[in-house]
Amino acid sequence: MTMDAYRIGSEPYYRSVGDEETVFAAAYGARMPVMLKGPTGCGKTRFVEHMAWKLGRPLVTVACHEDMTAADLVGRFLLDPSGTVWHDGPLTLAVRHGAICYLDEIVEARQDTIVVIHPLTDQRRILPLEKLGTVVAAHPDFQLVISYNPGYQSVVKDLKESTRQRFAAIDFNYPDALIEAEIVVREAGIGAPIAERLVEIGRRSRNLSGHGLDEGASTRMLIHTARLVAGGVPIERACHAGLIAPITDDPDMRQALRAAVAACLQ
Amino acid sequence: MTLREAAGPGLRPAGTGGDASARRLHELVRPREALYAAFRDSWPRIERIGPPAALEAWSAAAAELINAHAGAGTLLAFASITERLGRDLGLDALAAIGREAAEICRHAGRRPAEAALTVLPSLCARGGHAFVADVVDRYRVVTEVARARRGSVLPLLGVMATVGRAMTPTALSAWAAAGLRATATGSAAEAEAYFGLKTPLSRRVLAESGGDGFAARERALSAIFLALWGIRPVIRARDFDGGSAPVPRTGIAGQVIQVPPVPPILPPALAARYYEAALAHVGAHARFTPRKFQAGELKPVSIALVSLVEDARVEALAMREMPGLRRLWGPFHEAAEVEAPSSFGLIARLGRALFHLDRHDDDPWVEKGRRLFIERLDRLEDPAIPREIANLVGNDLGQMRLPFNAKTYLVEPAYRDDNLGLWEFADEPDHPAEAHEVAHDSVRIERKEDPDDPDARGDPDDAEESEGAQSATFAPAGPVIVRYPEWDHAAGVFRPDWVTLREAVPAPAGTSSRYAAADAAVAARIESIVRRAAIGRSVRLRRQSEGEQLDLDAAIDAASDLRRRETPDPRVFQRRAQRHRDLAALLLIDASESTRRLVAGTRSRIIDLEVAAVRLVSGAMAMLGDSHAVWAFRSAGRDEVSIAALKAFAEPAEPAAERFAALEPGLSTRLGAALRHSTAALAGSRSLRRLLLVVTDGQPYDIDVDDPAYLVEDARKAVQMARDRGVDVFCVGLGTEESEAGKRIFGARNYFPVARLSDLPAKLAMLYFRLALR
Ligand SMILES: Nc1ncnc2c1ncn2[C@@H]1O[C@H](COP(=O)(O)OP(=O)(O)OP(=O)(O)O)[C@@H](O)[C@H]1O
Ligand SMILES: [Mg+2]
Repeated sequence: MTMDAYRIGSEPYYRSVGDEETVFAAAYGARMPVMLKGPTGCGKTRFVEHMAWKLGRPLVTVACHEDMTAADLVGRFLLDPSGTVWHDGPLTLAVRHGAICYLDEIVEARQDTIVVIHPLTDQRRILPLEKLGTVVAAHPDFQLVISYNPGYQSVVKDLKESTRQRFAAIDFNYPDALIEAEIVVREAGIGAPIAERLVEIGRRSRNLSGHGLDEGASTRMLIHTARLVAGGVPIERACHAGLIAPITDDPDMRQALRAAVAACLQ
Repeated sequence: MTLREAAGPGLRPAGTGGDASARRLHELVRPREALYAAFRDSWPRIERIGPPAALEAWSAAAAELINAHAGAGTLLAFASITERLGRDLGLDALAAIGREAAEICRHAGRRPAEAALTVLPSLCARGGHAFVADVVDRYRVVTEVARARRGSVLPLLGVMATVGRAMTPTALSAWAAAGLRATATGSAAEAEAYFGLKTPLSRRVLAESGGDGFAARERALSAIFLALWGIRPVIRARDFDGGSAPVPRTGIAGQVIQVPPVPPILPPALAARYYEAALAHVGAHARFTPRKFQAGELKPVSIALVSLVEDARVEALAMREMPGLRRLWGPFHEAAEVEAPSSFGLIARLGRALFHLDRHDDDPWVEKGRRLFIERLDRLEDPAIPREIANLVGNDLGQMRLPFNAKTYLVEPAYRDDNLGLWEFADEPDHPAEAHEVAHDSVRIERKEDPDDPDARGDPDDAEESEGAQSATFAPAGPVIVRYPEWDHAAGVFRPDWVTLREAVPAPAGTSSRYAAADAAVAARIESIVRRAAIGRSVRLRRQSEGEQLDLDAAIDAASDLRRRETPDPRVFQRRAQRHRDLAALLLIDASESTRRLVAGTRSRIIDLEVAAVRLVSGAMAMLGDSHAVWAFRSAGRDEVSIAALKAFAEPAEPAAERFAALEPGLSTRLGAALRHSTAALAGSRSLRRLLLVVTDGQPYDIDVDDPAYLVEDARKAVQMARDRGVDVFCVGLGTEESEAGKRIFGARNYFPVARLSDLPAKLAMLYFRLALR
């Protein structure tokens, strides 16, 4: 089994915003599991890609969801003409071959799924494969990274304390206005003045997070909007399509977002 | 008799046969000497308004007034408003108004009819432009009221001339209809109080029905403020001040932003954006006015000028960040009253020049102000600028000897605040400078508007002082609903018909938002849980014996079992099912005397927390569409167990804050009877799951019972009987001390103590969702 498919060819663009690269590199050096905390679309995934490239490791990404079972992570028997054959899941793959395994939005997974990572995150660094009756010892280069959106937590879904405490955490947030504008310019190929306006609007939408909106507009949305503008959509229209309509259907909140757009545009 | 003779010198024939009403009118008027003289004078001017057909209608209406015995004064008032407003409104509209006035007269008498006519100009804005379209509909409202409550017409007209001006006719009519309904069985004085906006109910209904009014838009406006400025605002609508005109400007009082309950008189396009513009201006102050100005010995006119320049300064700074605000504020400057007499017009004009800095103004004084401001654009952050400029232009204004009357000065444009919040007025009685007096006067006037709203004053102490006095919010002994038996544990028998249950409707109290300030973070959290729950996500049911899809894991297990020659589990399917909610829930709140105690370390009483928590959860349940009710209970002996429905099952939305605010604790806790009544209500529900959630702070107790175990055992019996009838009963107990009784009554597994009261809202919500999903 070759991991080529999981290697990152060219350097992913990542604009560093603090000491996150240093912390991550040190954690990797100690093979310490890392938890990236932050709102959606603020660059967590891009950061992991960037670090995997920098550290020269393959990256196995799993988007977690509530129907995900332990088998989806670890592997399962499949039927083929000769009978049943075992098929490694993405986590097992990463564990065997020394990749960085990135479990995106881990809280979405059910508790009984999440617990399979526990033995990987302490001194043992092992992955028991119950169905096979064996245990896989982690490759020395293997590292586990999870992402976690604290704004999203609810009574129903939250990381258990026993899970949480196994990780070093790096806090992410939307970058400062100037840096965010720089990212928008670069990712959307649009002029700085428009990027700056969009960032202003984005910041205002974030004022509403937790007060009617679950979250404000992410960097990702600003980039989307900027791309629409680059594609010839008038800016006000682009703001509606790129960052008002997707966020909320609540008429009051839409009104507030429209007011923010109107106020920030010339 | 020829037409000309009959009509007299004033009346020119308008055509053959098409002027019958006009002739008839003159016949009616002529015998009344004094009236005739005045009327003849007006007639030609009215006639010129035309067209002839409308003049006929108008004449018929005037004749109707005479026939209704409306009196000379009324008729002349009709003629005079017609002269004034005929061209703007058209004679047809005036004819319709005249007919309504006649109808008012028939039901309520002359004075109201005359008042109805003389109030007309104030229903139309300056020069009568823009708002006349639906003026007739407003008159129909007055007529309706006149039919049912003659004495209420005058107070109603007073309201219409002030706050009612900005309301749509539909809103006005809804408010009036609610008043007629609410006072249907009451006295005339009660109706008059309602229509004079003297009762809390009346004010609330008016605030809530005014389409353009603040109440309807509060949530969106708060959100806009938060988005633009990053500050969560506390916005309060000023009270409607019965009869007298409200201060039609916003005010900043510490942390509280006060806004008029309905927008001031403005062209409709501006009225629609009034609140947005006004709050954006307040936001600019919040952000860029660093501290209050010291009034010291400043003259009122200087205070006005400094404020004006400060307004321009903060707006200019705000527009640097948010250039689009210019499009919001600009149109208001175009509509501002810059031609007003005295110095007001000039000051308003300076305000406009400082807003449109690129426009030259012909007035040298205004132009000087504009130049001074432009010279300082590169250091606009400097809060000293307003005083500098005001000093320089203030002297010139003094030399022009234009009078400035601080009592009638009104900040222009209308979206700007009244400036009082910008100033610190020294409180020295030995310096009775004019500025102080005026300033203090206006402050006082402003304060008077909400004497009984402790929130608006930001002074929590007052709320507490008044508590002791108002424990009688439950009607003392309401109508009997039913009698329930009670369990005598010592004798082992039921005492039949032992307890009398009465209905208590909590009277709406004056304070409106005592509990509104529930912890925002908790509220947001509950809201997001609800949103998630409301989506009604489907769940995948695995290992089913039938279904649309194979459950891969189960199938493989089965296959490998087969290979190993073991008996496979045949449940290898999976299917999706909608999470279905079919439940009826009742929240029962203990409102007994003990809930009046303050929660340690806070200024809130237990009842306040109970109510805040229950309101949050009730709101969440409403969002989910769960059928639910909220009741409160207390007792004073077995003859008087009172139950108040704060929200009935049938009421669709979250109950109004007032009803909760009116909930005053008192007396005792006869839990068993309340449980029996709740059970009866729930057992009648057709829902699959019936949930009774009791929130109490202690153990059952009543004045006429000595045996401490008696009421506990009775309540326990009531819970058991509820379970037998398919009602799930749970209890949230506040505090830890009395948990033994709670466990005894509800069973240890169904009793959830909450030791830290501040946790109650979150705990209650969580508990509800857990239980509801079970
Ligand atoms: N610091 C950054 N440098 C470069 N690009 C960035 C940065 N932050 C955000 N982006 C841009 O934003 C987009 C979204 O970021 P990303 O997908 O990494 O978000 P995320 O935090 O992983 O979101 P989610 O939690 O939804 O998965 C990226 O595709 C990238 O274009
Ligand atoms: Mg101001």
